[in-house]
Amino acid sequence: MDYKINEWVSFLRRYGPIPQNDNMYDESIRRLTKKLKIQPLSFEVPLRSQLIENFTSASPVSVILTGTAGDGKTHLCSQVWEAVGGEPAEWLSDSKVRRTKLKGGRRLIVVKDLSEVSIGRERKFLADLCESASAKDPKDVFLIAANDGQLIAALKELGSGKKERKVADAIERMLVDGTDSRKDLSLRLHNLSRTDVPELFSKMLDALLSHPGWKGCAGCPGTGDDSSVRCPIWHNYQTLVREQLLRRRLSDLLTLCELNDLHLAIRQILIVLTNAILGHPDVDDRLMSCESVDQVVSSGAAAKASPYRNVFGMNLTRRRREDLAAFDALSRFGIGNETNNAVDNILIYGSDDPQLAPYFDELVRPDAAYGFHRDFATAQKAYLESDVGGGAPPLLAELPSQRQRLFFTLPDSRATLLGLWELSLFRYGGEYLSEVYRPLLDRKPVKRAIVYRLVRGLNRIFTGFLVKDDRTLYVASSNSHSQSRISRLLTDTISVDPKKGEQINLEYDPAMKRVFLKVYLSPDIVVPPLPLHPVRYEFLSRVAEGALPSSFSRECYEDFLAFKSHVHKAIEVRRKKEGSVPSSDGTVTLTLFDVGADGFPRPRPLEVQA
Amino acid sequence: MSAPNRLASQGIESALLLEEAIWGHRLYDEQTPWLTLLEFFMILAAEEEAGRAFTEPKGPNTLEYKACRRLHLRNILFNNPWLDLVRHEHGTSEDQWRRWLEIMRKESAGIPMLHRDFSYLQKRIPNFADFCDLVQLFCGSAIEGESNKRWSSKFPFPFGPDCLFEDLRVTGEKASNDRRFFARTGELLYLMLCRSGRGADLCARLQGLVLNREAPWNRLAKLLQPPDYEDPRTPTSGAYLPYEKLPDYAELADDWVRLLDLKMPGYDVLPHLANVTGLHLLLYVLRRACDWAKSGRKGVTFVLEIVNPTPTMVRQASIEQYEHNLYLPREAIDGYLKVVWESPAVQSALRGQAPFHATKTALENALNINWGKMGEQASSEPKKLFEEVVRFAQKRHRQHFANIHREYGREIGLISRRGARRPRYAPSDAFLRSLVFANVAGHMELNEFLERLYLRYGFVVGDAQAKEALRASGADRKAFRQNAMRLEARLRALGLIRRLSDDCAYVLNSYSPDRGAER
Repeated sequence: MDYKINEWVSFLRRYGPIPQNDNMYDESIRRLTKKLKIQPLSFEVPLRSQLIENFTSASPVSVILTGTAGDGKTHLCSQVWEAVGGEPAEWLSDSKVRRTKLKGGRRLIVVKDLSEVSIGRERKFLADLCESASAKDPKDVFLIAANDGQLIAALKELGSGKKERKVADAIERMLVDGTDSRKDLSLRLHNLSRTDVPELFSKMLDALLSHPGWKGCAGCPGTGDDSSVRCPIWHNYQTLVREQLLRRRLSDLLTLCELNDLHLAIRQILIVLTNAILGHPDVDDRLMSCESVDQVVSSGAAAKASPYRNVFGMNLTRRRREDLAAFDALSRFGIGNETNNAVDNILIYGSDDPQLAPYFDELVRPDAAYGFHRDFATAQKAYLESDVGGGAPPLLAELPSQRQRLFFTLPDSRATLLGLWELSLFRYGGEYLSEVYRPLLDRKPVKRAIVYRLVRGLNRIFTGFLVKDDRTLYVASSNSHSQSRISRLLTDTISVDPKKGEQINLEYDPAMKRVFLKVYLSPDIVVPPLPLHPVRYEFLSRVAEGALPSSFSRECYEDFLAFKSHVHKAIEVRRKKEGSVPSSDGTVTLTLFDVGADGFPRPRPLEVQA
Repeated sequence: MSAPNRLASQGIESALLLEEAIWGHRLYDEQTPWLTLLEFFMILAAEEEAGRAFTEPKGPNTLEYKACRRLHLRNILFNNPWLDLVRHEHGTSEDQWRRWLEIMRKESAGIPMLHRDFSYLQKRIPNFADFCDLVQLFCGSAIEGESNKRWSSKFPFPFGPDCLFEDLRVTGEKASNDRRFFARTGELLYLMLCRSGRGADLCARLQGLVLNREAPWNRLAKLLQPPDYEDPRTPTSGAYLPYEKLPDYAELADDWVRLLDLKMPGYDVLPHLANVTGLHLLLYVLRRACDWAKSGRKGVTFVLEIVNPTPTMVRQASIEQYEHNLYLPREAIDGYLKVVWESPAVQSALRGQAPFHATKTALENALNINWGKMGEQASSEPKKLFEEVVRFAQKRHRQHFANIHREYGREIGLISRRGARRPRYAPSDAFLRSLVFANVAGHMELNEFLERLYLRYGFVVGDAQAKEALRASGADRKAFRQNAMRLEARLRALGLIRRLSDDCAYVLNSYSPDRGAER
């Protein structure tokens, strides 16, 4: 079969997990765009308009862009350059430091990659930058792009002038704290690693899917109605275009990664998307091309091009998957290996069992390409008819891809019934997004039932007992150590619902872009907020439903014990403020507590008289 | 090999002054860092009461204090297996008290018969079950509570001055300090801190902690003691710290001050003080050994292996370093004796009249030898006599002092055999935490942290330090780089680090005053 060669596809491969790509990314893309006369992928990053506005305004400030490789710093710099009317020739030249005039007579100095600038010159810059940042109305403004590590190292080597040191320390603090500006500096620091993933992802996907290059596929036999010669690349492309659910679930996964501080740079996300469309385990570089489609289709292996498994990099070797940040991050969800009885029963017995058949017919059978495809049908039949030779039944090898597919195709209406998120390690992942993160982003409060459940988990960790009470936080310790595992002494209790200035809430911090657990002891005494990322949320929820803390996750357990220590400290502060007075007759009172079979702690005072 | 100047010692009763001369009187393997802290707190409380905290008003090595015994408290907590029995055999609180008081009158030890009256307890805690709970709470947090040491060598947690007392050996009504577990290491610690120049700072910070009489648990401990009787206090003196000034003292005090400034809740800082103290004492032992040991020229380093399932070259280096350090004190002993033998006094005695007696006297003077305590000396030849002295010294060294490196290291979590056949330097999580809390104010870049650990304690973790300390190169450097990466992963699991990007990670101390929310 002669499939049409579309140069856009070979260009697109460049964005995928090809080994040669790792170092020479920009270079190779640039060369190809020139050669093939194809527009490169471009989409608007939210920061772009903010930056352009800054540099075209009447009082621009300097900007530092940080982030990891592949976050798009260089790209942003070039967009700003263009927008302020910088000379295109200057940008394309080899100079590492580019200068241009801004409206209003100021000078803009752009360094698109700090590591390109040699040590001696680096010092001059940063010193000038510090000078400019301390001034109220700077003559020169800077736009510098650097990796966090480079920036910090360069700042440390700055001379010891007081002004420079002050600005350098302020910048370092901003980096560590994640803030983007300070009142006393004419400087903004944007960390491109802290992005708004759903919005960015949506823009990237749209840019990819609506690229004119796809028009080049018109007229190819693989795009026609004949499913026996259908091109898997085209099919995957159409799937991504049509299936909003796939988009949405993938966006959810990426958001959860980001919220767990597993940042995926733009470049990494592009690798995932490209691999989703082009991935296949049997071809060169494990990415399909117009040339290799024929081989894939005629060998009957088109089912292995499933975008649902490509998203997790299942077409690549395990080594390669571990090396690429995006696939490493997505693999932590365990999708493909995690499951529940309902889903596996449908997959294994669905075409046979009359009770399961309606689900199977709705969820698996209609997809002849990646659901009920030939290999799966054969393996399933063989398994059900006990027609298994030695060794593991082939059906078992098919299940991971089927589960991965179901994760992206199970409709919302079935999600609760069949336990969609039980297909991942983060059973509470979906709930975290829909009941905690998104409502907080919309400035709506989180349902109290969820806060109560988290408090129940906290109580079990804080006391070491199987507490059921979830309206009160029991802060317990041993007499010598606040972080003890089994704590029999009750230091204090804190009301979850607002009462006498106490309360426990989930709040969103827009600067850090994260959800925090906040425990208020009084209107002005708050325990240092605990970042509640999806991993910790999962941990607390599982402990609340009965898991043993130290066996589920030792790391999270230590985190919460340390949090308990901070709660103790805050209680001490409150007591000091309240001026709690020891009893005048020398009596010492302790509060022990017992946890009854009903799970409610009962405080018991122990008094010793003088 | 030049040792710093040493102060003269007085009246130390020992067969010969060898370890004492080099390290002081004294360090001992059975006194773990926690027990050292307890002895130290006891001394500090006594000196503070006398208005002399952290000073040596009569001159160096004149420490004299009176140690409390608190036998009533100790009997209640640690010589009291009858509580459950009494509760089961008798129904009412009245009966239980009556029975228990009877038993204690007969069975309590170390207290003269006349004073074995525990009835004050019943007036203070009428409910016997409450009394049992209270005892259990004290025992649950006791130091060495679970060990099979004698009951008179168990100690309650140091909640305050009324919980502090000396280690004793108790038989019948008699009690004496046999210096078994309080072997004076606490005294050395006290003198070191006196001479650190930061005594006032430390005192101010400990006021609210172990010196606070009003702390609830200290008051409880006081209420468990009789209102109108106190055991006679034991006057103690004789501590000897040879060096008047050492940078080590200030380093130790600095770590203490930094830890205390974190204002951790309650007594949480104490385990970290114990670890850091153990580390500094270990460094003191090894550094002084370097003054006398042949192979001590290079100073003291420790190659730290962050535990890895498979053996690496870092583990090998760590094992070798461990064995090198293990023998340093022994080498120091040998070196010191050699210097004594080659000293003018001994050499001229050898050549002069009556060489045997002259040499014997010269040796006796140099080492303060008490020939009676040394056992039979068979020989009549000077060289053979010296060799007997050497053999005695080495044997005595092996019995206790030689074990200090291993014991201290294990107690603080620096030395471990985990996952390997031989012990080496593999820091535990608790030890790592103590290091971070004592060294990081707020935040510190990871490489800076590694360098600081090297400069202050001689710890080699990453490749930059390996290059400098061990002249490592090539593949070895890669192994150390991976070692540092494993350290980062461990610190992340402990919630002590945040990675910003590819080449930049920050170690965080969430207790630092200006650092609230970062975790």
